[in-house]
Amino acid sequence: MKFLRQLARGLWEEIPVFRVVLGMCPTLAVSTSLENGLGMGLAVVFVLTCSNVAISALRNIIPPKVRIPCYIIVAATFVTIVDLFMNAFAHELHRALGIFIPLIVVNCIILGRAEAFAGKNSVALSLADGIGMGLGFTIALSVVSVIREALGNGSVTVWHGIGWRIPGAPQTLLMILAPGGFIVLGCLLAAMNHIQARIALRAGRGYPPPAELDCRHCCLCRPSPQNPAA
Amino acid sequence: MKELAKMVVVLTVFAAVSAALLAWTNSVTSEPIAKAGKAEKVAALKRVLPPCDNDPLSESMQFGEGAGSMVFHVARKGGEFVGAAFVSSAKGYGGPIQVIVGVKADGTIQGVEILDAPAETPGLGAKVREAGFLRQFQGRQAADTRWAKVRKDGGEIDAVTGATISSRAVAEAVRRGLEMFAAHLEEMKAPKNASHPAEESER
Repeated sequence: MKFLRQLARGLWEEIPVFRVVLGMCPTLAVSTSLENGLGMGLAVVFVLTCSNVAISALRNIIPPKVRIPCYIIVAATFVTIVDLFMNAFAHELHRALGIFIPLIVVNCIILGRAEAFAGKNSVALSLADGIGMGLGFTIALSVVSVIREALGNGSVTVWHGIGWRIPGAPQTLLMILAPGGFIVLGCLLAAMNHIQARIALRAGRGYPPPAELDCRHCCLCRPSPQNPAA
Repeated sequence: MKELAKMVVVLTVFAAVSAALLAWTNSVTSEPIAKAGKAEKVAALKRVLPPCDNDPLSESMQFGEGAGSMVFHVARKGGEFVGAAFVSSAKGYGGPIQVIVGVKADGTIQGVEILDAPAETPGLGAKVREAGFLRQFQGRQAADTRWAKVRKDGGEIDAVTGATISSRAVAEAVRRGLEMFAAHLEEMKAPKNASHPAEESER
């Protein structure tokens, strides 16, 4: 039960891109088509699950002062292993994803989950956290990708040319370029905050500040008559 | 002091275990990776060359010197020269773009494919891989390469929208190879037995 609850947290409550706001770099770089978003997301699921399990299993051996280098070594090792094995035995897939795999090392989600979760919790829970956060990242990336691809290229590609073209859709180049990524992401973040604040207020709860987010500049969840719990 | 020793030991062990794992992975995968790369090249050669009965991958000739040198793979049918393919590259937006081009004996292009474009922007520059862009090269003449530029530069190739630099690189790589092809056509046409000395050095 605890396992499932931890898994579900990554999918909504603490969905990486929209709530925890980690992993922005690959989100902006890769989300130009759904195909890319899905590929990157699934590679992250794998690496995050492996690194979470390994770090959680080793958490009592790792001295606190050198934990960050240890985490980085674990993540980089898994990424390189995935990269090499994929290149050897799934060459086609590697061609499509080649540029994204090395990017996973610098994905803050890996380090973020190691630091915030796997370094303090049991192996089973860390496994659930890895899968949940990875899938949450995949979902978030896919949502951003679909919007950008549909608006920027007039198409939605699931995999290798399999997909749909939207007839007569205007192709706004801006959406494929970096500014489009920021615009879509900003709108989605705002929408996500709005929805979650609404749900919380309606249920009579305070809206919890997004975990690990600097909210000094936001008054969304400051204590107020409507929101006493925050 | 004890804490320091522990940190040093743990980090060293971590690095050593990681290095050992990676060394093992590398030893397991290096052969399949090389094989997959070769298979990919063979498949690409087959697509861009006219039907032939020799092995174009092993029948190669190198022309030019230093950085400007280029390897040509010659296709023959019944000993007769039917075409040649070359791998050429030019600097794109994020890094080199490698193309493979097949030219028939009469000097028309059979096909152009992108072998590798690792650093082009996904959704923009990476679109030079698409058939719609590459089809423009088919059937063009190798003898006169003035067409092999994007329209902005006075050629006849329509660049991919928003990716002029990547498109320009593809056109440039194709043009350089075609010029080399035209210059060395006679040598490649020579029968196999009159072996070119460069043929050995390629191995």
